[in-house]
Amino acid sequence: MAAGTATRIYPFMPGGAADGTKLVSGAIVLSDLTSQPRFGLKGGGSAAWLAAQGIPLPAVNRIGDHRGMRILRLGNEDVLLLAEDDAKTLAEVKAAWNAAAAPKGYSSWREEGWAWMQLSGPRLAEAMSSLCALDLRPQKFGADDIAQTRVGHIEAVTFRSPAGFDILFDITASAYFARVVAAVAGHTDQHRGHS
Amino acid sequence: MNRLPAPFGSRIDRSRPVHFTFEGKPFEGYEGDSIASALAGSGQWVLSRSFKYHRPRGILSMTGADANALVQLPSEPNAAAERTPIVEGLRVSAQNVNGSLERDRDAIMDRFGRFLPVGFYYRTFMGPRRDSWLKFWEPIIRRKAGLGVIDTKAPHRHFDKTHLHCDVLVVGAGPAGLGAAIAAAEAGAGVVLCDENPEIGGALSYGRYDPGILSGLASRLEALPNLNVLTGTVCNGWYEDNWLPLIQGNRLYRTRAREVILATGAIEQPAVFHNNDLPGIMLGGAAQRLIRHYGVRPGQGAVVLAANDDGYRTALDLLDAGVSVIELADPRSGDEAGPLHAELRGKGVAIRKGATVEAAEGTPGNRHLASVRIGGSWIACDLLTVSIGNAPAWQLPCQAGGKVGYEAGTQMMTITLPKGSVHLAGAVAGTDELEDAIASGQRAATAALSRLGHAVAVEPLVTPKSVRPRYVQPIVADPKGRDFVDFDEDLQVKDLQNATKDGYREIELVKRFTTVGMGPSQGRHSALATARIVAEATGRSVGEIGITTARPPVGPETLGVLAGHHEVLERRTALHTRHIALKAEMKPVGSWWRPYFYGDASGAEEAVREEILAVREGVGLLDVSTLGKLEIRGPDAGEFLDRLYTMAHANQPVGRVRYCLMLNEMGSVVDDGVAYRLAQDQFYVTATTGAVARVYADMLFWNAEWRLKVDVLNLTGAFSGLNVTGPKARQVLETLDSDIDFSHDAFPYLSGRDGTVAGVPVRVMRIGFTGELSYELHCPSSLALSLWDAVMAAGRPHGLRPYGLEASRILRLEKGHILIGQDTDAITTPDELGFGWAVSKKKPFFVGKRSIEMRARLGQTRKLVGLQFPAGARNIPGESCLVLRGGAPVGQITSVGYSPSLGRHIALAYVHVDDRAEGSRVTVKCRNGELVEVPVVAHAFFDPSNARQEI
Amino acid sequence: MKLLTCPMNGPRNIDEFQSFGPVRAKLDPDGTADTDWSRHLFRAENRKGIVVEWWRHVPSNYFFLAERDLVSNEIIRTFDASELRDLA
Repeated sequence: MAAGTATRIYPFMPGGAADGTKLVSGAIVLSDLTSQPRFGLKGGGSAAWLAAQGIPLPAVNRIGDHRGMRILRLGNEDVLLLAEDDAKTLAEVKAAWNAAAAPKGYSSWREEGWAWMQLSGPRLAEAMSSLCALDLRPQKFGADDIAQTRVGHIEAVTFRSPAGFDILFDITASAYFARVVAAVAGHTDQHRGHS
Repeated sequence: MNRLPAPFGSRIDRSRPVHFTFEGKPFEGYEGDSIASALAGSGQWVLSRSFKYHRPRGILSMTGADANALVQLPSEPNAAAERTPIVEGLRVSAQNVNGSLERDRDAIMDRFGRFLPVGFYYRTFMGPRRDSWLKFWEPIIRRKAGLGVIDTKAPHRHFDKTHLHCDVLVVGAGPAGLGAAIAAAEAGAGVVLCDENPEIGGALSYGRYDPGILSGLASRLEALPNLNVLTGTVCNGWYEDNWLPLIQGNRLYRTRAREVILATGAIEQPAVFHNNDLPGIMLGGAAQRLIRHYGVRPGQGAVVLAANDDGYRTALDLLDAGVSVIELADPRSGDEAGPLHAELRGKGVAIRKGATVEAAEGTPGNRHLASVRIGGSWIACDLLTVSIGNAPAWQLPCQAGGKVGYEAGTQMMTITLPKGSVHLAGAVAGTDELEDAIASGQRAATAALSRLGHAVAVEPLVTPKSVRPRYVQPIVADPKGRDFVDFDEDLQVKDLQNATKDGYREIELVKRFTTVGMGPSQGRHSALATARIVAEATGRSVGEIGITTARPPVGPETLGVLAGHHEVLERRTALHTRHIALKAEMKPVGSWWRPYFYGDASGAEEAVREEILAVREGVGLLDVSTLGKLEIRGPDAGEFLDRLYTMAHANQPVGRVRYCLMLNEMGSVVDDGVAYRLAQDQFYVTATTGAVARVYADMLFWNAEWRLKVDVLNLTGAFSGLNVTGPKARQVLETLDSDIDFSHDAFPYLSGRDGTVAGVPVRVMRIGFTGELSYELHCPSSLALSLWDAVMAAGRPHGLRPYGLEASRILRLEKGHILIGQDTDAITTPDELGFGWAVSKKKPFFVGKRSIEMRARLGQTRKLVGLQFPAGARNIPGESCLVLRGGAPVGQITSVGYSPSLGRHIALAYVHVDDRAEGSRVTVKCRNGELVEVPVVAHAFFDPSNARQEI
Repeated sequence: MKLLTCPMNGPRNIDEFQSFGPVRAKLDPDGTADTDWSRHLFRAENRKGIVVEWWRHVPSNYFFLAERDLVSNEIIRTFDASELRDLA
């Protein structure tokens, strides 16, 4: 598919589908990273092509690091690259892939299909316990672990980032997700007296 | 005031008085008081009236487990007065009274008991007529039965759910639970300790023990950061793989524990004798709780019934609280005299061995205990404490697979658990003395730790003990009855005996016939006595009788806790705010929100008509982003689609678009869409909005079996779709900056093109749901807004109108296009739709092929056809109205609507296969019952030659 | 709530999974009589014993197999579909 020149609008931007939905902040902070660069490949040939580029691939459900990119292995043939600081390496990989001949796997379109949000704040652990049934305590879920699970009752991929937890989920549910997190933040506040 | 000075009253703060009312009368208590303790402190002992006989009832256990102490709060029925704290201004009233608690008109029921024999319900409400139950009995019972009143205007409360994980969950913070939790946490395990009481300690908090023991355990507890103590928290069930709900106020902790230690303690059992339910007769633990927790003196002159050491300690506690103990009756005949015995004697208390309480008498109206009979002589007293033994709290252990037994030596119920990740500790495991309980907790922790792979410390040994009875429950059946076995349900000894005489010999049948154990206490105070009565009546042992199955929840739970907070899933297309800006009437379609039409609700009909005409005469724009979009990629992509869909795709040329129809294994139509071949190894496939999740899952499932070289990607959210449709659609697109040639020759019907439009990368397909010239533009969702704005701007000079779901529904109906799920049902075959053309005859296999061949041999019975109503027809059948043939139903209307293009109503309907020909007339039964005759027409009502969509 | 151990994602609450039913014998559609085909479609055996079932871990869309005891409901083991092919 050709590259476009038109302006990209993501859900929480003016005119976006979740425009007007507030992101909570305070003891629990929800931030939107959806516009941040990322690039994913999925399907036969994906892993081999990336490996041939010199990108070391971690085991399934683990995260690797390579030249300013976090490498998320979501399946044998399902890899997602996230840019950490400047997106230079990521852009290079993407350009190389566009120019390459098959077999090279197929785009997974994660930058379009998934919202990318981050949960942080002093009461992060409580919020995650409410949103997700998994045991995400540090001794059970490390910095390089990936959980493909449910967060806020919808399918999601979550992992640790320096600020908190990053969460990838169906982009069409962005406004819903922000509301779920806001409700959890409200309950966490209410429960403060009890604990 | 029956109040005692400190140190009695560990829960109350005497500096903070709290005012409340009970039955309209003002009362005062202290912060920390429960409703029952505050009332008892003011001399109000009657809390409720009993279920059947409306007898006055008061404190029995102080644990909140039974119906005796359930009260009505303004917006909460059945509040446990023994557990609910008082707050300033709280209005409390009694339940199950006709009139008031003091003057209950139904108190007369107590004299008519013989007219309410056991099984009364089953015997009585069957007649006299077949409908007597509904018409006569049920309304009476509804008025009489039920405890408490629901407040439908109760203020909103916030409930929430969260998750908790731990290595070891210890339920119960009594001596055994504390011993277990401390041992497990000191070994380094992550421990959660929960207890339903506001403080830790269990019996240590109210029993006659050295206060240093509890404070010592508490300080060890506090030093452990890996020990999370949840007080005021009920563990209300055990579910598979150690999944337990912990309820703390309005919050539910869904807890997963690797190991569980149940230190749920034991439940004191009442004695059975005539008038054993009078206010003033309570379990020993209740008296101790009143004294130590609340600083309430439970009476002035007491008789103590004691068959164990706890009873003797209770007597000593009563003396300390200034209650005169008139006599202690010990039903055990042995002459064993322990130190407690001597201590009591030393304080001048008369102890009578081998004797029990045979009956009690009340003050007028049975409002309070007046005297008890022991050994034939009556003793005046206002308090009788009963300490005759315990039953292990079997509910959670039994849910976790525990089996109940009976040990003749101690006359105790026992529980054994299969070896595994659930352990018992303390009284529930049969320990007796304090040191035993703590050691048993430590042993349970050791067992749990070793399963968790911790290095295990040396196990505390079990100290061998001489076996002696710890449970001597006198059951003194009285000819006058009122010897209650189950207080909740007002069941007496003879009720249970009669049930066995009626042939209900098994405990589960006795329960259902008599309702024993069905009340709020769920058999906590009746199960053991019931087992003994049934055992004796049927000549079997208590172990053989057993107890009834205990299922979750352990105690009552608020529906709000189960519901929690629920945010409704909502999915929005990338164009959501554009629709809102255009004043779209948005409607939910599954979890999606879609424009129904654009404009004010008052002009709905007109707006829909205009939107339809715009498409038929000019050009319209529909947001089709909710369509399922799947990409099938890999060398076997064509083969994969060949196996899944009915048409041929392996030979489909690149750049062509083909209809696809999906069947299930039964040969029924389950989905349709189109497949656009992007490349030799890549297809872009659409699925219906509602079915895509299942279609996607099914594709993955089939491929898990087939193992073809394909990858399936769900692009439903990643891509958005715009349908530009109408005679002027080409003109609009040709004005946009694009590298795609939209002309008829370069881009014919049923083909697809890749390129950019207005700087947006697009996949364009020429397909026609509306029957007009249509281009469906799909693009990455982040660019959908740009594309929409460009198309809207380009379309303005051509009168382009966005249209909504209702116009789309009519447009497709005018063309006779089906909607899967609306015009198809669970058994629709392609032949019934007239879709023979869409089923390949050459392919050796596709899902459903074998079944449609078989079903064809069975013969077709119905067919989907068009029905056209005469212009101006007044009675139009609705969807699902039946099509009749010779009076019998043969099909139904599946879609109906008014076609502005044709000026009349049209419908799709299943008719008898012999009526399928154009010109046949079929009979349809309208909603008002009237039969109308309608002619069958071709499927496509509008432009049957399809000339318009292919221009 | 029961736990199910996904070979790819580890132990999870069973509400993260979707059951796709027992693994069934493959029939040759063309070599099977109508009555046998109907039986194949509609008749579930449900005999006491151990059954091998297809499961989908919904968040990761991973399909795998589980051996389950139909009497005790114990999940004996779970494994990747490639193993099934090896067994066949």
